[in-house]
Amino acid sequence: MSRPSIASLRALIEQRFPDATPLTGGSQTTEQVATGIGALDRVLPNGGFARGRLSVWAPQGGATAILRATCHSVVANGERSAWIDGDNTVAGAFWSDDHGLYLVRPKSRIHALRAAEELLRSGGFSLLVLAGAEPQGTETVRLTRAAREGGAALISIGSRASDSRHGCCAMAGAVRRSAIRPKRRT
Amino acid sequence: MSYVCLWSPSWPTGADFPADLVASLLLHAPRVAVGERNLVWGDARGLHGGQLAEHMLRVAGDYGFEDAHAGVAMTPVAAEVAATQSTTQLVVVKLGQDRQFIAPYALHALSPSDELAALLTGLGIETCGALANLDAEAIEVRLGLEGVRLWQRARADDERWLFKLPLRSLPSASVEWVEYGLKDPERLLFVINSLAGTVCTSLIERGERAREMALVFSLGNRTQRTHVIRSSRPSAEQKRWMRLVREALDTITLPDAVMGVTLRVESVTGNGGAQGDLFDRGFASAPAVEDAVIQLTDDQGDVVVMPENSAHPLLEQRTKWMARTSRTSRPTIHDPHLALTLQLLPSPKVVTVDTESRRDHEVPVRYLDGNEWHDIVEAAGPDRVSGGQWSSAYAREYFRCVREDGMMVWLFRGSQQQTKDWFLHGWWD
Repeated sequence: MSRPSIASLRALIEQRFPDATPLTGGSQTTEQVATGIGALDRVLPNGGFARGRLSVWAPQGGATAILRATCHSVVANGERSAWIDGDNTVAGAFWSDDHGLYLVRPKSRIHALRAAEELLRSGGFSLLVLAGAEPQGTETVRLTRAAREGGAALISIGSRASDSRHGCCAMAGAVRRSAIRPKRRT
Repeated sequence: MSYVCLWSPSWPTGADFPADLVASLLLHAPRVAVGERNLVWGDARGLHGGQLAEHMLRVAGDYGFEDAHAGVAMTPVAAEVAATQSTTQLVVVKLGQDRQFIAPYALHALSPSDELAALLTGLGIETCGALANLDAEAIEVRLGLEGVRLWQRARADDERWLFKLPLRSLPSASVEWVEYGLKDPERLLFVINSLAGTVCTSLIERGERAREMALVFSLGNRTQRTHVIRSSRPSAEQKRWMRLVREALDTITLPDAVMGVTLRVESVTGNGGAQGDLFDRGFASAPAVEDAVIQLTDDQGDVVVMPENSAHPLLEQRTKWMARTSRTSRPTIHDPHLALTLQLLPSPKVVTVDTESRRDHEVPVRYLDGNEWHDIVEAAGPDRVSGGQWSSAYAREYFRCVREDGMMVWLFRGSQQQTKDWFLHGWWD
């Protein structure tokens, strides 16, 4: 968003909610898990993903790339992260094996959810990404509770869909048409 | 001392013998056998028999059997006579004195049959010592096989099959029932739980963790059924092993009643702990993570994995997924860069593709995925890869395509000699 738009939005919020206390610049309500991507952390509330909470990320648009980088950033900070590959789409040849990053390849959606709950409750992970196994109904409540108990930030990515929705973070997902050129035969 | 024999005239026998009393006795004696004629045996080999007997008497007293008596001896018959015939609550027969100890007691202490007892009385043989002093040949001729067996017991030569299996170096625990067979699965589980407690306590004391245990059922039809239980990671936790036992028991069907259960450790590993930095935030939670991974592996198999990649030209055949182990060291990536990642379908999916000619090849211009057509605005390729076969120049032609909605997909077509189908292999995200 451009600067004038943010300023006008802030003015509108202050007009509508005169007693509201801004979160930025004051004490934070929850600890956050920073993505390690500066521009994204400045946009996210509290500078990262909230611990003990479930964040839902729409697929495509660079979601996997951003969250993979976040996992590595978490490990670089001395903590652990986990990636649950619910639809078994992780390409092993391009998986960056890292000491504190755990990859789980369950056999089914239910197994993926159980694995997520087990790892969340252990309390040893700061970030857990659940890809390709969306929780539904009470499953969401259960996983959120497990994330709260374990103190981890839980991110859920939907399954690969045939629709063409972009990721919720536009700056990371856009692919310019001009960036891809067909190879010229020499 | 080898055997401790407990006897009480008031405790129930057979199927009514309290299972929790057996479980409590197992806390002190590694092997317990519930015998006939109100007898309970404890294996004292390698232990201080007198102390073991005192513990077992105290346990019996806690359960309300204050009239229990105990005998400790090298042979079962001497221990039995000491427990059943003596007025003292605890009798310890001196080493090597079993025969002399039995000698003054009346023959009924050896529990002969009524016919044999009457016959011996008629012959004027009233004590065990008198019987033991007779000649073996004479006993065999006059009294037959039963008489010979009684004569052997009178000489403290007891061949009863009590704890005859050789002592193992690895921890084990067992319970046997002589008079009845156990059919109730809940009681069986209760007893196995106490066996697991004994075994795991022994493992902890030895500083070891079991990798594999064997559950041996002695059945009423004189057969044995052995079931091996393996844990994904070595452990000495009773809770973990009992969970594995419960899962195993759900799949086991025993053809007859259970006369005895043995739980023995088959293999162990040392109890080495991980070295790490106390100020490392990850180190403090390492045991919890390890437990969670073990639990996950026990429930779902080897799902926590890491890739082992080869140089195979076909991407879906390049990776072999190996179970992640705690001992495998991996590098820490300190500077992860942001880049689109390739996501692969578990197996390439056949799609319908419309193409147009471009120089000497066909490029995709749109493809059908499900019920929706996707237009392709850019197609980079073909990237031709071999399939490790020498029958054709290449196996696949890959195209990196950008759809109208901005998504990048990976399409390929087999070589003309193999197939003309188009496949969707993956996408970038």
